[in-house]
Amino acid sequence: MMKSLLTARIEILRYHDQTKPTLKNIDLNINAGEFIILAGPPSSGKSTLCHCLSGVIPLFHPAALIGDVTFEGKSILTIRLPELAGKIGLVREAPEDQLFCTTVEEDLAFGPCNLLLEPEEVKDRIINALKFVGLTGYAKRKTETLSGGESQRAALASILTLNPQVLILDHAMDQVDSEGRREIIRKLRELCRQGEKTVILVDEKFMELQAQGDRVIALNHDTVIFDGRLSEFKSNSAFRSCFEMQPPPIKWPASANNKGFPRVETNEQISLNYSPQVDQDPIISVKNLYFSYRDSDFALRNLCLDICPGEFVALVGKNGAGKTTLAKHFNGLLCPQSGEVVVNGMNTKDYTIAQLASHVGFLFQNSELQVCTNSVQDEVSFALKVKKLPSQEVRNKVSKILHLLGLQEVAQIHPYRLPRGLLRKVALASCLVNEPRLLIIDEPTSRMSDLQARETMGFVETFNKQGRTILMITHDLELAMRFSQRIVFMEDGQIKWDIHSANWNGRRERYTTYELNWATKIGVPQKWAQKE
Amino acid sequence: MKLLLGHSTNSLIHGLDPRVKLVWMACNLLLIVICQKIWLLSLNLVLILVMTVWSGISLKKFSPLLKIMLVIGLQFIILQGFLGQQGTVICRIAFFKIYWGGILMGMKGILVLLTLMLLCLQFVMWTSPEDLTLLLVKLHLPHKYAALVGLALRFLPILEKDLEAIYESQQSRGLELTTTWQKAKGLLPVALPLILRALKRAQEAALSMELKGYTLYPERTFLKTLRFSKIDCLICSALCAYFSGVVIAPKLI
Repeated sequence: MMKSLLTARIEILRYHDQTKPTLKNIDLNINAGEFIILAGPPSSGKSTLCHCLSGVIPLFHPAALIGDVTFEGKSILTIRLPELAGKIGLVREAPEDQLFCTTVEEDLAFGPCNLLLEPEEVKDRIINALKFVGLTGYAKRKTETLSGGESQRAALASILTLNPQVLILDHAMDQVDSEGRREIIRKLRELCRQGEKTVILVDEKFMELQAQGDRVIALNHDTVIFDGRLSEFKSNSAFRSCFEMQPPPIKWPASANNKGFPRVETNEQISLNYSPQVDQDPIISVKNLYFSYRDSDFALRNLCLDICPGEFVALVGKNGAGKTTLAKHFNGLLCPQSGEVVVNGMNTKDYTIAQLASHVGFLFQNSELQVCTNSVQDEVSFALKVKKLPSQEVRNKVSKILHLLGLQEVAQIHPYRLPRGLLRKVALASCLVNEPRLLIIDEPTSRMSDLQARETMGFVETFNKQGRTILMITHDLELAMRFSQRIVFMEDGQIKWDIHSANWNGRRERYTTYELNWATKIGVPQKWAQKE
Repeated sequence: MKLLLGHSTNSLIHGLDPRVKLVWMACNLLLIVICQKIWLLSLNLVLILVMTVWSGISLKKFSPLLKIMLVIGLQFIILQGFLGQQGTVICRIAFFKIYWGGILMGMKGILVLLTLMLLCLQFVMWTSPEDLTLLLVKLHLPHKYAALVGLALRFLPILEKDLEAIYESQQSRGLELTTTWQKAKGLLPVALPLILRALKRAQEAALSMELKGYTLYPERTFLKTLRFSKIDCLICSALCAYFSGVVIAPKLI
């Protein structure tokens, strides 16, 4: 018999600057050892509920709350937030805000040291937490040198060192590669099974992390619309109302021995060294590129790559494989230490970044860092105003792009007031408005709901069909296979495979079979797509 | 500009106890207060620069700062030449006279300012925020405030990293930020996101700290402890001896 650990009875929760409640009529009882998936469409109140369950609302972020949240039978609304450390752990979306010490080790030690643990025990906890999240050997690494996925792993580890009974993950692994995410979820499930932890997970891609026995709490229109097993959820009308627009998730094949994909017999062979036909000049030509960072062992070594105009290429690989480093050479943000990079016929060494910007659009991972105006409309028109285009032309182009991306309704709103997913869309619009011949998109769907991701990628696909070249950087194999014509896989700063869609006959509905081919022939996706 | 990012932190100086670094800074401060001789101040500045290079920090890092100081310094020296009416007149411009004594006074002022600036930067670059926190705890500052000082120091390179990302982002949208004039014109699209981001980051970091039990107890433990090693003692003694010598020797001559 599982004991009740956390309860939430929320009649109404309303932020002070809003008139409508964000949550209403919530009645939840969470038992020790449960693995819970918190599902729901965008803006349904998932993150707000996570904040309530962890005490952040109202102890840190003030809000009008009618109701109570209890932990082990005691109300958490009248205590201080630090008192919940070691009991309830919340890992949030942005890792850079959760890591505030110089090294990973110091960050991981911050919590346990506040709990007055002895240094020896703190060190043990750090080793175990790093091992848990797959960052063994990262203790002395400076946090600013970590990639997005590595930072998220470190942020999770920094909460794990507190050994909380309840662990709430609010989009905490969005940037972690598929293999890593599956592995962490598997370990967390194991801890829940042993009764050591209770996990509440908010993840837009929960369908690929599913296990039929998981409990699902679905939110829609600010309240709970379903609370039960995942197997029941999928046949429930609530599922359709929540995820009507979602594309069907990839079904990972059942494995005979639970260690990976089964072998599938096929006669089709996949070439791992695709090189494009050179009947036209490549839009990107990389020759013998070498680049390394100071004080780091990482380097791009003797890298060669040609991308033809009109291609949709996915640059995939694990966190820290060198994808972004390579892409930054294409718009001049980084210069080759040897070799050359030619983009649209221009050697990047000979042009400034701003000069290359007319030809290359770059969507960065952190869209917040480019907001410098007071409205979405101004933000989108920024690149055109910089080019000093006539105001009428600017207005026309901006209006067209806002309409195409469905952003007209938020045109006058300050970008900072938008949810992160929508902010990414604004950033994408500000890239596309310049009509670049080459568009580089770094993790385009991170922090987006499936619906937003689908809309955005659909638009990028349309842009590609107009003859523009797309280079998508992602660790999401599913996304890469769904949209791109060519997949370039990077590992340790080198290109390991270069595969064209012709090799899977363009039949995208069969890509799972081709993944099996990869798995049986290459072995790498087996690790990526490890079965739960 | 990457002032606080990307420098080596593996040198012997970086590994010293922060109290030794504090002694170095304090002795230098004492020296510039007591000694007002230009040759001594210049010699001291050279020594500070040598120590900087020895600790693996390239002097190129300071070049943007030195450019700004050059502009300010020249104006300051000329102004002092007009206003500091001491010594011989070396030049006349219309009704104004420029005095050699004033020029010397201006040069002395700039040397002191430059030394102070470099000393502070050196301390920040040599000492990790965690070491600074431990140092302040040793100096009996309550750990709650000591941790905050360390974190404030940690925020500087983070802001610098954000600034770099903003530069990259805005340049990728076509904003020219190559020359100084372009940078001055592009101040708003760069500064605004930086300020907004800094405010947001401060709030989010405060939340993260509370979630990790900050101020749960009046005390806290630390992963590291400060220990004065033999080499620390040796260097500390050498510093005291050297600075005593430098202060006393000119008076004996």
